Amino acid sequence: MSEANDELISAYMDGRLNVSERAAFESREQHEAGLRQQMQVTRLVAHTASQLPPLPLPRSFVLPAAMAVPEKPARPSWDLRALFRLGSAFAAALFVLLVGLDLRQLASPAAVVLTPNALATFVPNASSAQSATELPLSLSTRAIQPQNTLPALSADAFTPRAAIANTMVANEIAAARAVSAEAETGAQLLTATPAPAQTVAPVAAAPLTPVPTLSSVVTMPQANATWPLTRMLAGISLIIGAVLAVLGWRR
Amino acid sequence: MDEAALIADAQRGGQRGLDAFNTLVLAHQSQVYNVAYRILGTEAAAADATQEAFISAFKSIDNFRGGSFKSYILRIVTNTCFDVLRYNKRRPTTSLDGLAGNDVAEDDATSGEEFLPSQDENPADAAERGDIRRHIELALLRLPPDQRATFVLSDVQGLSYDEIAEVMQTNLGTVKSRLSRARARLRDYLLSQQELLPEEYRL
Repeated sequence: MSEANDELISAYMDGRLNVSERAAFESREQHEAGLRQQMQVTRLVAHTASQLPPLPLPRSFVLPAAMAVPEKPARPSWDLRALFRLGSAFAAALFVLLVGLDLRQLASPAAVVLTPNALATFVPNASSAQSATELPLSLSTRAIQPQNTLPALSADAFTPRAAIANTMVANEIAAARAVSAEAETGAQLLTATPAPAQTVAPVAAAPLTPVPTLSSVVTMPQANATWPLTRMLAGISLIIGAVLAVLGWRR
Repeated sequence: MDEAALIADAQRGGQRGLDAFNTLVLAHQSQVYNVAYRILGTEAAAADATQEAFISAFKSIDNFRGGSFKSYILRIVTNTCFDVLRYNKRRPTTSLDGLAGNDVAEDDATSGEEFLPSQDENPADAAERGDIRRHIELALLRLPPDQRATFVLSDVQGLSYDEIAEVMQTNLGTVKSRLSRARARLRDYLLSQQELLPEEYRL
């Protein structure tokens, strides 16, 4: 008899055939004497096996008192494993937050590509000359230089990201104005800073000789200095998260 | 019996832990021993395997991650039996147990009381039933170990397919396949002994 028939008989006995398979099998059983006999004897085997009496135990298998191991200290009421998992989740969230912050810081300065004309249209109550001289040089040395030969952007061409950056620029200009006012009363910072005229070529519409403002000296190094810090914190949180996850898994 | 509480106590250790584990031993030792006996075929080997399985289970109770303790201990004893069979295959020996009449093949002791005819069964039928049972026990020991264990767990111990899959750490398809092959082999063995079969089973 084929193996397929053996499996069919076994499945029939255990009630694991569906209605149609069961009907087909019963029909075959009625017409095939060999199959019927095999079915009956297989049933006899299974029935006899189920009736085998349990053997009496030769002895008890209870473990002797000598096998007792020292009692372990009671576990704390709070579940340490849950604590590890919670810490791991918190570290992961911190890692994501720090990486996001780092990416945002990386993306923000690079997104700002301004020309004086565009700045003039974006900053109300400021003449183009004023805008040019007070152009935030935190942007000028890096962002304007490669763009010198490109046509000036209009305000309409700003992307939302650039618009956000320009808001930051406007804030910087306001800060620079405040510092300039201080400088006029006697501070010597502005006069001491050299004009990087060789780095900024004049734009066709409005020739520029941008002079670095105090904000360019102060703000950019601060922004750069925060990147390694966030990355370091992200790395630390990743390591802590991994350690806590392993501890939580091993317990 | 709160099995989970007993296991937690056993994991805690100490005398109380041992007592808790021994409560589990008392609850399962008969089934464990019978499974070992049906797989190994001798009382002495089955007793050794059973004791070894309980000791092993106690030592590794910290690794028990919930679920059915019955499946856990049956898995350990089944694996212990497989180890014994592998060892015997590599180093075949002649068992002295057989000489003492303890082997299934020689042992008629267990077929005495249990197979006394009931009031509504005539002695001839009872004797016939006893013969069939003995031959099935003999044929069982000739099955490959994995088929034997599957048949014992299913048709002798009455475990479900899912439980057998958990005990033997395999999938349902393998369980079905092994079981159908085991049944077919035992059936073919009985069919080859036509004189054993009652009239209605003969062609």
